[in-house]
Amino acid sequence: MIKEPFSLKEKIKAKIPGEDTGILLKASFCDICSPAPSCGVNCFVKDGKLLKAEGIQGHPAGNGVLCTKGLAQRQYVYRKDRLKVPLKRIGARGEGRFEAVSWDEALDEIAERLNAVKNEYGASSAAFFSGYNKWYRPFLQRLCYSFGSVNYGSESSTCFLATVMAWKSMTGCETTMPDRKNAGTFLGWGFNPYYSRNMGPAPEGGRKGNEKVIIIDPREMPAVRLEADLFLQIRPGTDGALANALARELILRDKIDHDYIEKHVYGFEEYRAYVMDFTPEKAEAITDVPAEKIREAAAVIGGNLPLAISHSSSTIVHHKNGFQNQRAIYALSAITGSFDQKGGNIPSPDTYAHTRAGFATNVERFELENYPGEGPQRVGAGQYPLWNELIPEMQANALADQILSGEPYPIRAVMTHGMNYRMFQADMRLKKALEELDFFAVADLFMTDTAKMADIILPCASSLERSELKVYPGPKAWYTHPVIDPVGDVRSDTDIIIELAKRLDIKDELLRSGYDACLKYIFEGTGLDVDRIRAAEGELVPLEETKTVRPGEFIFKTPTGKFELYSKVIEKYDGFCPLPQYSDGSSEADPEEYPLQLVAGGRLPSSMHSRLNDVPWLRSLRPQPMADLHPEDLDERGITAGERIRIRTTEGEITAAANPSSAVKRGLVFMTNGYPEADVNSIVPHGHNDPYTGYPGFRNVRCTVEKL
Amino acid sequence: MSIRILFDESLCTACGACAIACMDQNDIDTEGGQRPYRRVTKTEIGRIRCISSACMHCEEPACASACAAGCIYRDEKSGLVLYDNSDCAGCHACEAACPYDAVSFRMDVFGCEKMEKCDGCYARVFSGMKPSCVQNCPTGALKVRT
Repeated sequence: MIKEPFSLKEKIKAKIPGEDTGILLKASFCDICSPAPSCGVNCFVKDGKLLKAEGIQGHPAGNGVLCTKGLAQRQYVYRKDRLKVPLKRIGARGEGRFEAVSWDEALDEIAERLNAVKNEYGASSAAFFSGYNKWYRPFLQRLCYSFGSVNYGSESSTCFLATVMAWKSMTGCETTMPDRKNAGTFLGWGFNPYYSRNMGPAPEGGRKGNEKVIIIDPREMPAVRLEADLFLQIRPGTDGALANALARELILRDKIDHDYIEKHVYGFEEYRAYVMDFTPEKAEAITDVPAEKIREAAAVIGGNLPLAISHSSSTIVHHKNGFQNQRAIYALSAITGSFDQKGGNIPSPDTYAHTRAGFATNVERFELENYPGEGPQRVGAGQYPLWNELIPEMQANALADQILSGEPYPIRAVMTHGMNYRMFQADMRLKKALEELDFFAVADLFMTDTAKMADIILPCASSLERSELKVYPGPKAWYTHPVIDPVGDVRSDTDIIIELAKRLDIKDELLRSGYDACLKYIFEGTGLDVDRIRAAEGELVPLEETKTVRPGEFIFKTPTGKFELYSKVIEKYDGFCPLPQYSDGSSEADPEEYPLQLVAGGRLPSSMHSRLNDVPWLRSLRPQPMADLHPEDLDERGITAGERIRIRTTEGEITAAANPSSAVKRGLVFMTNGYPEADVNSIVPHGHNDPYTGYPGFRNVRCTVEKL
Repeated sequence: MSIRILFDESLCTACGACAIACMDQNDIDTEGGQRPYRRVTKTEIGRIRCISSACMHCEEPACASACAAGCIYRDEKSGLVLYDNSDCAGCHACEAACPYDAVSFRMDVFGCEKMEKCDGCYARVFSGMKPSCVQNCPTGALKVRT
């Protein structure tokens, strides 16, 4: 029988916080799907150890709830392969034999080796790269430039920045937030908030209100059942054709905003002439969305303005034609007069470290002011000139080629935080390239396969073991403090970068003066007082004096000072189309031999790239790598649920288990990335990239599937 | 205080947050083959259905009747089916009897299996908190009624 009061043993077993149990509730945040949303985590801590993780009621991110991934915080932080001390390679490169060294020895060696490469080949022959985590990126970018190298790059060479390029080419803004609360129609294009960044503070994280909701996706995801008034199941990579057909219908129905177009849009006539070719019937042939549904969707949008379009970091732009498809979607915001208007898409500046709290800071100056004036072109500049013009980073998809060829100049050293070579297409090329470097250093939380190739490995602190200044919409600011004992002699990424700055003998007094000094520089003049936030003892502080962006205030930063449906920036390049032109994005392969379309990277609720593969609780939800196909596609091949299949492309093959799913459109093979034993990116062909952005065509690769 | 955990299938996405919350709360040993007290099932062929399921805390629990060691009982005050597995012989009769497949087994330090199951997180509820799975359900498909 339940007897009260509970015994102490019972309370400790149930993890009830209190003086008697010695279990403390401490506030921190989850960094697993970093940087946004950075959900608040209530950490149940006893004797410095994490016992349990839950959301924080009232926190701007999560509001009391954590997602599938974040709830496994304890097993993530205490993953068995956490790095605990600095390591130095003693065996052959990649052999995986290391000895423990002191921090001084490790950092001195990195500084010495980077300086050696600088002296022999020039500073730009050392590249600095950030993997998926983002919070320290402004610091790493500044370090790279202060060192004298032009080659800072990041995982964003395949994520998010192509959408930034799309907005920049049309408006000069970096990104927008859909003002869903005030929208007439919400267009959820590749919208999967139930499995991916689902607790975020972004407006689209909110649930359906009075607006009409149209979901466009190749898979019937939970958003369809829970939110959609209309669902268009599209063939991946044909989004541009659908967007252009919607534009044609809106123009023919006269549901466009003539005043807005007159005042704020450039190139409408050329655009109009171009999209008139996209009849619903033609679009149906390309997209597989029935013409009637396209007309219906246009009627819904036209009858319910303004239009808010969801933000997606990768799904649309992970195609050879992804940049233009993304621009075709954004064009709908212009012609309906929804851009920068209440209920539309509101331009949103990068506040700092890839988080958006509704206000701008000096972060860009902090990142870029030491950019070497005289130096070679960045990696990828020749191959991807538009990327090079719009994004101040190397295009890391070209990194392996440059290391291997030494052209146009050699890259001999790479210093990286959190690199995973498996994030790239045909990734064994990058692995081979890393093997050939003179020097390779890795800072990471875990002993990853990439870390195993390093000369020096530095162990990083998790978000629960370090401090960080976070900003949230509101706006609010939060200076977190460590809530658990560190697993070993680990350090925060920014401390590592600042220590390196001191040892590299570079002229950057600001970076050398520490994290808080840099923060003060970044936030100067914004109304955020770093000392005050830090002194708030882990409480979130509202920034009452900080001015945030409001609809209608944006000033177009394009050559014409308007929303450019015809891009003057793109016009300069031979072979590029200034209009949102639709072209086929399939990989080059015989469609008879490779009749199916591989979509690499579809999200699962329990995985995040590779970092949760070795978290046993999460792995138990889907123990083995599986490919999702429509049941009829499997039936035709005599394959039943759970059977082993071979997925083959022109680049190679992998094996996985078959998972029949009626949610998947016919003809598609969905496979999550990041499994070492079934590395789907390894069979995405080399050279299958968007020429505008350099992004790999991860989600449109011709393939074939057979029973093993 | 009576405790009921309610489930609304129309809101469930089978994201598995409830299952992970259960694992974290109860230190479930998945590596040792143990499964959580609450789990999700997604039917993906034909109409897509998402279910989160755990012990239904039956009024006449078949598991209790099947247990020769008398480990399982219904607590009248809370309406929960609870257990004391000190005498559990690991015979799995309760598991065979349960129509909801809701019984879990943990290997103890002596290599013996001991039954475990959902206890409604009663200690949390009596302390003013929600059951772990309910607290962390992102869509509100799981609710607690006291």
